[in-house]
Amino acid sequence: MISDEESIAEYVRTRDGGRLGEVFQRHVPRVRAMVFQLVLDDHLADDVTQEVFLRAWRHLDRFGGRSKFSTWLYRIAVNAARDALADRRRDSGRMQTLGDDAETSSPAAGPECVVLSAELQGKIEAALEELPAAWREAIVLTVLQELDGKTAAEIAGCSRATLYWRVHRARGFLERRLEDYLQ
Amino acid sequence: MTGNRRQLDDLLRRWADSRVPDAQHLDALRQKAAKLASAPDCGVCQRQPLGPLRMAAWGFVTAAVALLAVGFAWLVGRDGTQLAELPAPSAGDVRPDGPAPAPAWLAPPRVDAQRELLAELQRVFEGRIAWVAETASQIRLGLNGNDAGGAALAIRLVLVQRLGDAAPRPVWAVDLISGEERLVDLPADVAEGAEVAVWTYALPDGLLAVDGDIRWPQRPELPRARYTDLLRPGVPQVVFQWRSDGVEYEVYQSVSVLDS
Repeated sequence: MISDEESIAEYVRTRDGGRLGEVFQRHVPRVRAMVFQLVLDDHLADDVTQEVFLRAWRHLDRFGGRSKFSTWLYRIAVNAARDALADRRRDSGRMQTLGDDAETSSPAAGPECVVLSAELQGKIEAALEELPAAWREAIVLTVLQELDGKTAAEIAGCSRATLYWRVHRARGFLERRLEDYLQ
Repeated sequence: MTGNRRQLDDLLRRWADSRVPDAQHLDALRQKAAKLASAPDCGVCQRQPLGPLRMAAWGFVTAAVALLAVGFAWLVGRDGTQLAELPAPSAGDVRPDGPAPAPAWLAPPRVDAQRELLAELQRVFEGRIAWVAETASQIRLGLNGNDAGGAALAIRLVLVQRLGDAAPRPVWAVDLISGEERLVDLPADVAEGAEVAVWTYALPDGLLAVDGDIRWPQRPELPRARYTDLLRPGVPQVVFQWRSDGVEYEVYQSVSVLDS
């Protein structure tokens, strides 16, 4: 099977979008999942996911092949999520007004999804929301996306030591917030 | 990994699985991504390399900033004696019938003075100040183009020594100006012989979550102080303490929010 990196190189050479489209499609579920775990909002996650692929497409010339395409793409995803969260903080008043509409059309969970009680789901999301953004990124990249430390640190833009420190602190924080569910 | 940690990770993964959108929703996103890839106007373009003039200009700016940093550190360093000149508290300061008043060396840095210092430094360094560290003998600046944009904070860390009934005595201190959610990582030559890593985050209820990791490599009698705590803004609090050979040590930390 042709690798992502080879497909990108072919696209840059021929500008034939077919292969690039396949690469993008392969990465959509994971990027969407990662972005949602970072922004904790379905609609924002959809918008940011599209933004990620738009940015990737615009800046394909900057992908030099020094890292894996997935690492490069996930770094774009983390940056796009950070930007979206910063925008949301700035527009928090306006977003609250829009929130009611947004909730009515949240995408349904997949049929294979694991059922958690609404209460527990809410507690987990509230706890994640409370985490400093950098700690949440560290938990998402290592625990939820199960990336190795080197890759996760590269995506987060910090040293491996800092990343592990953030994971350690984030776990401590979440353990305290969710202690009723950890017996 | 402890049992709790494993349970926590399992719980988070179950939550993540429960929040995966349905196949139809993902298909729609896939289609949009594929459509983008097939758009006629591709985004691939050649970036312009830096010309020699621009490279020379950047070199000049870098050198100028470095010189300014040294000069400014010398200038503001005159105030760096402040910590050293503060008197140690006397036993008479302690009231037997109530909480002890905070001695001068423990009081958080003056918010207005620190705010003024930060504003002046940001003006000189065009908003690139990431942190300022001030000890008894010097002031050092950290420059960084990637400002996290969080609130500016004034942090004071003081190591206090208590020997028997004698009055507590500050033996090490550093004042920092940093930003929320910004890791300040100071080598020993900056922080009076201590390696300091501190991180602060303002919680929605107004409390400040702090993380610290302080080591004194040249002082084997002092252990590594690693802590996580919640502080009230502007209130010094013991974040780490220990006893060694009959001497009691405490690390106090205070954090004040500079942004009004």
